[in-house]
Amino acid sequence: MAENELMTVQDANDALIELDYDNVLALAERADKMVGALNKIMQAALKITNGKDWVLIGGTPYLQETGASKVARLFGISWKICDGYPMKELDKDGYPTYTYRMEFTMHGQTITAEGMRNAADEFFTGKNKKSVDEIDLADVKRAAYTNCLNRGIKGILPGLRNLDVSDLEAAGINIGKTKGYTFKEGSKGGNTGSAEESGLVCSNCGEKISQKVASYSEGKFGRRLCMNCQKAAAKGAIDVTPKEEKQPTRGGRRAQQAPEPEDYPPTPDDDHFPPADYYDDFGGEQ
Amino acid sequence: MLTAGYIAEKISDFVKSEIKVYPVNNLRASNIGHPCERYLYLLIKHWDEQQPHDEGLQNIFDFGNSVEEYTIKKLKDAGLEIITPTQRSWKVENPFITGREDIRIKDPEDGQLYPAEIKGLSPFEWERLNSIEDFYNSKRYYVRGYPSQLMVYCWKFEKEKGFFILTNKLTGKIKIIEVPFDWDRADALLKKGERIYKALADQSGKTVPAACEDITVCEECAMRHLCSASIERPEMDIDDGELEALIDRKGELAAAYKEYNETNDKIKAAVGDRDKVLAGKYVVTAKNIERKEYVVKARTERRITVTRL
Repeated sequence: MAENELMTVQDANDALIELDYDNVLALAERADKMVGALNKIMQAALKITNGKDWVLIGGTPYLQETGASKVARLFGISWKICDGYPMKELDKDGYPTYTYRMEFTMHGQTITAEGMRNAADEFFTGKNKKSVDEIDLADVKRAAYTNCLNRGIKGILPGLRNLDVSDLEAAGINIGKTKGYTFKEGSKGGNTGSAEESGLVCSNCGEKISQKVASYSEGKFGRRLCMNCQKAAAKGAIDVTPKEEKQPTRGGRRAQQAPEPEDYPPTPDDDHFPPADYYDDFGGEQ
Repeated sequence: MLTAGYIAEKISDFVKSEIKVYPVNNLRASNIGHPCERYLYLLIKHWDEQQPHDEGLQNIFDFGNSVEEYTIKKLKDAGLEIITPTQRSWKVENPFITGREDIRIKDPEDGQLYPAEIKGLSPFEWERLNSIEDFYNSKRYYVRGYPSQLMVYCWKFEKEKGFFILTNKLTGKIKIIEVPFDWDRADALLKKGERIYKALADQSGKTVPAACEDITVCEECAMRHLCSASIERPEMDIDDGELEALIDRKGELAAAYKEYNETNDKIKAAVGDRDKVLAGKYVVTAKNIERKEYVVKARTERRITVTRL
């Protein structure tokens, strides 16, 4: 094809698109650089965080506020609370919802993120449904701020999402110090605490296992296994569902991973509302 | 069953129970030195919304109280006449600042009482602080704020000086720093207080004092969720060239570079005062060269620091 010749490609809807060949090459080169940069961001972020900066939920690692702050500091992410925020809205029972909107900037790129928390959430009201007067509303407000901060930092640094346990382990992060939670099927969040109280069992031998062990196993082996069965699985003695192979991509394996769901982090309205301890690690939400 | 975990949990529960958020209705001598006027303003306006400090800081506070008791006992045992104003705080007006000095020490000659502030410090901090300038030049904003307490005390009691009693939290050693009253600094503190109260008096909320520009202060700020100031950080560029490889190479050469210099020094020492020396296949000559003195002109230097992630 001659230089600057136009090439014609067909998209999924059979519509013809005309692309300048040089532009395509430039685009590909840029994509390569972008993927390389994302990998560097991820590697750097993993190196400055530790096990306590992450939490495993259903086997998937999520960066917490402590870690997000470290990353923001490293990469020079700036932010600002937008005018008019935080906003406070009352529901019909008088429980307020606090909403933050903040602008996050890095390298001239600015994104807006929102975070909100509702005082009527079970996390604040407890199972006995405290009245609004019994709730520390400052806690709710700070939780909304933290929620917004987390979303914004992870939004502007997409390399921090869609990691798995092996990524953390490969970076030398001590998973033993990472809190972990998972969920009992059909329930709104599992119990925390010991193996006896968790209601979770090893899918191989039936032994009771803790939230942390279950979550780690889900992330590592795709099944809930007790520690003994995990050791056996690691040696190949137990058949485990192979984790979905990551597709190799141009310039790095992160490029084709699915974007993080918009509802991250999970809220109490989700079916998979994490237990209260999950939020303990989000600063200011104790 | 008594286990280490049980004991640790009991202690932790107790410490957490000690964490309390108290009303803040005015400026205090202990916080007027905080670098952010916006923080002080928000602290009074929305004290009930401040983020409570954590267990770690509560432990430091509790330990600080023990260090204070230890230090006072040491001073008394040493024969100094000490007054501990534990019962009653005082205030100064315009701007309204309350406070209570840790101790007052009596001058044995004229009977005057001088205010003193006791600080329990980490060994590293304790070693660093040897003059009042060391406080003002500290990297830690809260250390830079310490002298403000004494400035307010001296202002209140009309004293020309006060003292820092610094106790090393590792060794228990005590050192004393004499702090002369600095009118310019005291005046700046009073004006700062006036600005904060003026902003608080504006019912519309449109007058808000400036936020400080020190990002390290913002990161730990208990009012950050209420502050509309921008958090501005220097951005980081991602190098896609050979920078990493060059740094690696420099690291590889570091040992050889060090050995090169050490060997050079040894050669100089081995030659000593001799002017011409035969050393196997080498002839070594040495001569004295007079160097003229010169003045290094003021210039801006660019310092590069490499830190491993």
